[in-house]
Amino acid sequence: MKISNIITLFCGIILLFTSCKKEFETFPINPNLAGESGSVPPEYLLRQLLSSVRTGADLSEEPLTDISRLNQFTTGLTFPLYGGSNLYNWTNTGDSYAWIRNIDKLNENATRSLGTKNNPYLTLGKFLRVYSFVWLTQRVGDIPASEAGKGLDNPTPKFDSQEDIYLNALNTLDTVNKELATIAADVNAPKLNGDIFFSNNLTSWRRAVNAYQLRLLISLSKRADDSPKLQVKERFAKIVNTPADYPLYRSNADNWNFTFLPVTNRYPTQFSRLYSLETTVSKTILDLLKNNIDPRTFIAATPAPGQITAGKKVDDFEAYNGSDNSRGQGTLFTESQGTKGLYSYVNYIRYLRGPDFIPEPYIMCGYSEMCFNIAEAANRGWLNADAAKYYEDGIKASLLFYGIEQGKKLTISNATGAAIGEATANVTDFLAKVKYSGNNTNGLKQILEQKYVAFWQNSGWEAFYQFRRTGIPKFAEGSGTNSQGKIPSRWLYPVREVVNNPINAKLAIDKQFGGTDDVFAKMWLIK
Amino acid sequence: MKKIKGVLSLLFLLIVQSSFAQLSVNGRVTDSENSPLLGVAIIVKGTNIGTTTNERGEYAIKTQKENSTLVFSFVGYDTREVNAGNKSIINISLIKNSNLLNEVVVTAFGIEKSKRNLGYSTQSMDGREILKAREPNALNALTGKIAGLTIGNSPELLAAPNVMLRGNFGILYVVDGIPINTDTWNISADDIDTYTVLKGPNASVLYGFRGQNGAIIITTKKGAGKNKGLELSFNSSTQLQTGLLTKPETQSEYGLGNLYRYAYGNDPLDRDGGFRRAAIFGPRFEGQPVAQYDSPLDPITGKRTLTPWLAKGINNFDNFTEIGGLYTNNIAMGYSDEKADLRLSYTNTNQKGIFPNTKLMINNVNLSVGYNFTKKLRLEGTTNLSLQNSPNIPESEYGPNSYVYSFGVYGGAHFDVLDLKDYWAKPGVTGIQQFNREYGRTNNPYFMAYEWLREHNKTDIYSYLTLSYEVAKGLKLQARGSMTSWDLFRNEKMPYSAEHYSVPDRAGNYREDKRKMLDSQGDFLATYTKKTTDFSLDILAGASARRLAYSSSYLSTNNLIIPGVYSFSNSQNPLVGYTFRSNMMVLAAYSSIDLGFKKYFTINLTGHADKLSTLPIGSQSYFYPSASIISTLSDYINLPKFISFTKVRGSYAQVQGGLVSSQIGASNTALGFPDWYDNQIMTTYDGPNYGNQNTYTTTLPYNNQPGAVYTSSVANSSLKPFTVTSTEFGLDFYVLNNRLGADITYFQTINGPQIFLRDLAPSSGFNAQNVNDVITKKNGIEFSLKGAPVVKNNFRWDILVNYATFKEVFNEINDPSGSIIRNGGVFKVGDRVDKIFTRAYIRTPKGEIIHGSNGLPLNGPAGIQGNSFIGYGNNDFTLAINNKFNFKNFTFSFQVDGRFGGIIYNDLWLNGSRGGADISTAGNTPYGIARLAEWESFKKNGVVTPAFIGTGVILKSGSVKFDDKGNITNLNELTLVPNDKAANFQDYVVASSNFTGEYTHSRTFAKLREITFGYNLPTSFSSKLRVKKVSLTFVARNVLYFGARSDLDVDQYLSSTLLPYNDQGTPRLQSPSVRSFGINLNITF
Repeated sequence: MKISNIITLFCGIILLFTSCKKEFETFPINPNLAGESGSVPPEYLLRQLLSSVRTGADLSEEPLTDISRLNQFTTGLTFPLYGGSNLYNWTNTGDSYAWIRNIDKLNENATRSLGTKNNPYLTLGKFLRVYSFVWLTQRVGDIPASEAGKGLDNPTPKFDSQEDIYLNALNTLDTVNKELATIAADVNAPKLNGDIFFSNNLTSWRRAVNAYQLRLLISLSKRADDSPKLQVKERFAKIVNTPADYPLYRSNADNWNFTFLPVTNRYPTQFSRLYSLETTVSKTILDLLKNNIDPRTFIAATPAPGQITAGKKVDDFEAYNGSDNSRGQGTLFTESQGTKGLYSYVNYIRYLRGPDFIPEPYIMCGYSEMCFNIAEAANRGWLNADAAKYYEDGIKASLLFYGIEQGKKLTISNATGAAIGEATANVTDFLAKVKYSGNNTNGLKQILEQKYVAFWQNSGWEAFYQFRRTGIPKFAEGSGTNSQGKIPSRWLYPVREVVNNPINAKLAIDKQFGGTDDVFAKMWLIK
Repeated sequence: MKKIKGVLSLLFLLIVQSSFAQLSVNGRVTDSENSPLLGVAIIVKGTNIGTTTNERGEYAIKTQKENSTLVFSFVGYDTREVNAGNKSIINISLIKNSNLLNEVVVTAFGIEKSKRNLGYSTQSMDGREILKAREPNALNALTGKIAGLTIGNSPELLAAPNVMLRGNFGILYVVDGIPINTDTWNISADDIDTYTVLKGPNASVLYGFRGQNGAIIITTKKGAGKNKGLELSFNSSTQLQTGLLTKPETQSEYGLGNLYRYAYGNDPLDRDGGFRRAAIFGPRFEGQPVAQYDSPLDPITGKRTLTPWLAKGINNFDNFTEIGGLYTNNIAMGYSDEKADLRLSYTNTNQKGIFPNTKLMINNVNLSVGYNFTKKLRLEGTTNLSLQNSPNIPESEYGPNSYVYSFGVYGGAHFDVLDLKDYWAKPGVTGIQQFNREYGRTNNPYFMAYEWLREHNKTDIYSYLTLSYEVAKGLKLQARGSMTSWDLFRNEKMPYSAEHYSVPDRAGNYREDKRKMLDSQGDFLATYTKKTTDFSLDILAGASARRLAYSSSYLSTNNLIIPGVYSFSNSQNPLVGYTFRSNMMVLAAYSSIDLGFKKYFTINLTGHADKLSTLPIGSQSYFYPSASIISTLSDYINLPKFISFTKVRGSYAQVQGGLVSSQIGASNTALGFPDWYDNQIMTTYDGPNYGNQNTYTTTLPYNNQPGAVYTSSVANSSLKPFTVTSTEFGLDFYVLNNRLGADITYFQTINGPQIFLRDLAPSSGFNAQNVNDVITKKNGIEFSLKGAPVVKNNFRWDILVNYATFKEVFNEINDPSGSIIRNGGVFKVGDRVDKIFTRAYIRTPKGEIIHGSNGLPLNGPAGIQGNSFIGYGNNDFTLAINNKFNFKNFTFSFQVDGRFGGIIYNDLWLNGSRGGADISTAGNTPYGIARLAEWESFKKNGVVTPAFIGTGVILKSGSVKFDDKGNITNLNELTLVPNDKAANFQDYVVASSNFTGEYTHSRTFAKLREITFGYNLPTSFSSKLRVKKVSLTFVARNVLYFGARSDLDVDQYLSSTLLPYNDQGTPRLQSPSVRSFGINLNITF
């Protein structure tokens, strides 16, 4: 090999090194996913966001899953099998900041692709921001909100007081209400897409936003008198009294509902139909139903096998018997077995028939709840409204939601789905039995009880939050609840927040709970 | 005929020669393996009469008188003297030189260096050592043979061993100087001449970031070895896997059910039964009448006729498993002459798994060719083709798709597995509905074995071509091209009615996982060697360009339309699919200088510059150096006489790189989507992980319409490469005339600043960010003793002892919080990296378990606050002892090795306990005694009287408060008395399964790894057969296991995390490990 050959070879190598410029610019980039500068239609981000919001950021907020037992609608009999645990072993919560991140990206992409700030994505983004912060603050107390979501620009945001978070939330909901009206009226405004709840109808969203504001205001009932900043009562009255500015739900048809679909978005119990004999209906709700001769008894439960064996009729309310969430599972299981057959199982033909049978949509925030909220406010004297009428409307809406009308025949099955008889819904007698007793403590109790019943398998944690706020209905507590035998009032702060934002987290815990992040401590909202 | 002629002529020769006055001696010289040696010098002592052996090892020599002494000498072998007496035939075997000083070591780029001149730690093993006692994977055979190299032998079919060097995964494999991208299954033991392990970056720095964790250098056999001409060899091994070394240990006293009750429904598929998906908490087997799956159905009442409840399947697992087999056959042809050398080798490995209908076939062809155009110009090339094929690879997972789950966690003895052999439900549902003992949690194991199939096909090719030219004396140029390419195809045929969490409709699925790799490299190398009386100089300079292109796809049906048709056109719902592809380019330039001064020292200096395409633009180019110094003290210092050689060495090396992963899964996980393909194999990758990108991931959240989410980790555009710095000091120390040597190495590895995913507070909107932070420091010692302490005429004893230990601690953490979260806990500077935190019982300062008012262990806070430090995950040390004895034609060897210290979590123990199946839940154990008492109370009263009183104390009054570390802060406010509250055994065992820490045990284990007993056919006999060598060996592997529990073979789990399945693709529930016995036949023509 001559020297010239060697030189050629070296030149070749040098050439190779310099000719790879393009590779070194393109190879670092992941070719399989859209990059940050990629153009992502805002509807994609919205669709995913709404789906995430629906299921919550901690335990899945879906019917007949863990949350159903914690709302004391159902009871698991056999934890090591698949009935699930009844324990309230609550600890650190999940967090909703991933929603905030994606809301920011929704805003960015919507503004970029639509070229205007006057677009419905930004407005819905504002609403979802409120929803996200409220979702978290009601679980823990003070949280980072005003400085949150800024990424590396502020990795340790300060915590805002719960009062400030709610003030900001209520103000923003007002803004959202107004903006939705403006955009809906503007024929040139970009149209919404990717809405899984209201088929892109902004007016429907407006009703939901206002009904949701009523929910927040009612949840602030303990602060109605001592937070002048919030003006809880005044705001509530204003919304109900000025329907032109604040359109509200008119019927179940306006509900903020999630509609299940075959195959892609199934009713979540279909796989658990195997465990139908491991989930019974809770005594907390079933007592309210049967004692009031509520026809929704036949929607929720099957007759207790032991009662049928003993000769009771399937439409005899006494044949229905709930199980106590606070007792040990071993005891409940034993009592459910054999000739005793003490407990009513979850209605198989309605909820477990599967695989693509859909019993009902999932209510995020519904008309019936709104009626009860107005009734509650009226009962509390926040506004001048006919509590009795709203109360009755709320009940009727709930009955209709479950398909119940006077004289309706309901097939009754046993725990594994075999039809064993029929019951006839007697709405008249039921309504007479639960007739509103007036704007007094008992009336309030009736409203809250009926609202609780209407939450059966829907509305996320609202049933629990109502119990936490009012004590109605009384949730079962005892040795089967947890090792302290008490139902917690809150969750602990997200672990990663405490570890990575330690100074601010400590300040917040010290300020609110005397230094201990305790599940039994009371936050400002419910103090 | 030819044979007879040969024998006759031999006889004739003997007769003729003995008739001379002079004594004639002839015979054959072989090595200890009975291979003939060519060119052995034989002289008559005290004379200048001499001769050499021919290619069959034969010689003939004449002596003047009786009793003269013949001296046999050969390079690399111990010289032997034999008194000829009046013998005319002397066959002897020479024993390989036990002088360790002559050892030559293959280093980076295939460059051979004398071990004397190495400044870093390496250790070699002769490939022939592992030819006999075979392992499915060649790498397994390195277990215990190299100090610091830990091989985690996996009992799974087609699971590569976990290979860890000095505590690091991601080891580079190099064949004849060429880095290859290999899953190690295409390395055929029969083609390997030597293994050399370069133990750290100090040794492998020339390979850049690929060599950061060290390298395993494999030198393959070439031509006919040291002989000229043609050589044929045949090697055959048959091994049977007869015994299960570890397996699930289950009780057979209680059957399926809940709280001592059980009844199968009247529906054939138990659809009306109340105990679907029950665990093994049912009634005791006492022959009492119970409705069971095989109880006859009364045609009139439609109800089941009760049948006796008996333990029908005590040996279910043993009855289901079969004898495994490992059959390896190799045939190789080698040819060498002055100009050319050529070797062609074919290996067939056929493995039959211990589960029915499982097997693995590997066909491997290796061709290597060398040709000398002139004395200066040589062309050399090798191509290796490997085809892996399996019609069915079993799953080993936590789930209904796994046998260990079906037998160990939710097994039970209430059914006889042999009764399930006919696995279709009757009548008329063949192909649609399986027949099983329960429907809901498990599958019929035979249905799984013959219907739920996972095919595997892989083609691996690596190939290289080298042209080298000696320009002038000492100056050599070399250009090389190489490539590794593999192509993987896996599928899964999931039949109708198969039970699995991911398929609620039980309508089956068909899935394909395809992956394709092309990793190619071109390089140029110049070496220059110069020696003067005072100085020696070795210079190396080179440059390389490497390009990697990878692509994969994963496609699945979403419920089958027609049962049994496994095709993508047979999907009820839209197909689910993912693709992933990646590209990488690495340019490197490097040089190395060795400078020796007289007999005093040698210095080595290396520099390496890289340009790596995975790093952000602006950080792609970087440089790192290394240096070492060696001094052979015994060459210039007078040492005590028994020390024959002493060398000291020190070295320093740095490596940089980043954003490259050594392994990759199916495309869905590569993209960051959840893994729903359970037994996903990890394949070797060494390509970009795109771990520093802001991206959107697309989803189908509602009605199959698109959604998108933004990344939760913030990318860092100014990210710099990581840095690993290693310092090493060593002492080599030989005694007994260099026959026995010890090698002690101390190393320190500073790993960092790493590319670290720093956790962020969720309120920032992100979960993590890539930063250059966190430095760990690892200190370790390796000790190796090697040699032949006894060599006497026909007897030789070889010993090899390897010991290694290391500890790694956090040295620097710049996170604003001053700490980081990993392994379930908070880590600060000074903490060992392998601390393990998990939930353990809440205990008093005296160590008593605190129970809640319900008699169950008290729950602490969740998350990391509720976790306790329970121990260290890494072993304290590893130790292996290998002894080998040669006596005449016999060889005997055995190896004992083990890893000591550390803890491991046992998933089977926990889940088997929670399922009521673990052996500790029955019999004469605390659980078993309470269980029996409860059963008796239930039998008597129909109600269970709780009988399990947990040892410890019970909280009578007060509410426990914890600090943020999970410690009790108000002990003085609590009333704690000895526990007197009885809980249901079942409640207790289920509650206890929340405390993972209670199901950990020692990681210590030892194995009697290998025994071989060999016999080499005497030369006189083999030469009659016209073969050079015949050897027959009886082997046994994995003979005995000594560990904390007999349901978990700890061997394969190497990592320091709590959950062992965080290891490189190791499963949560492993298949049993097996003992194997066999025979090996090796013939060389």
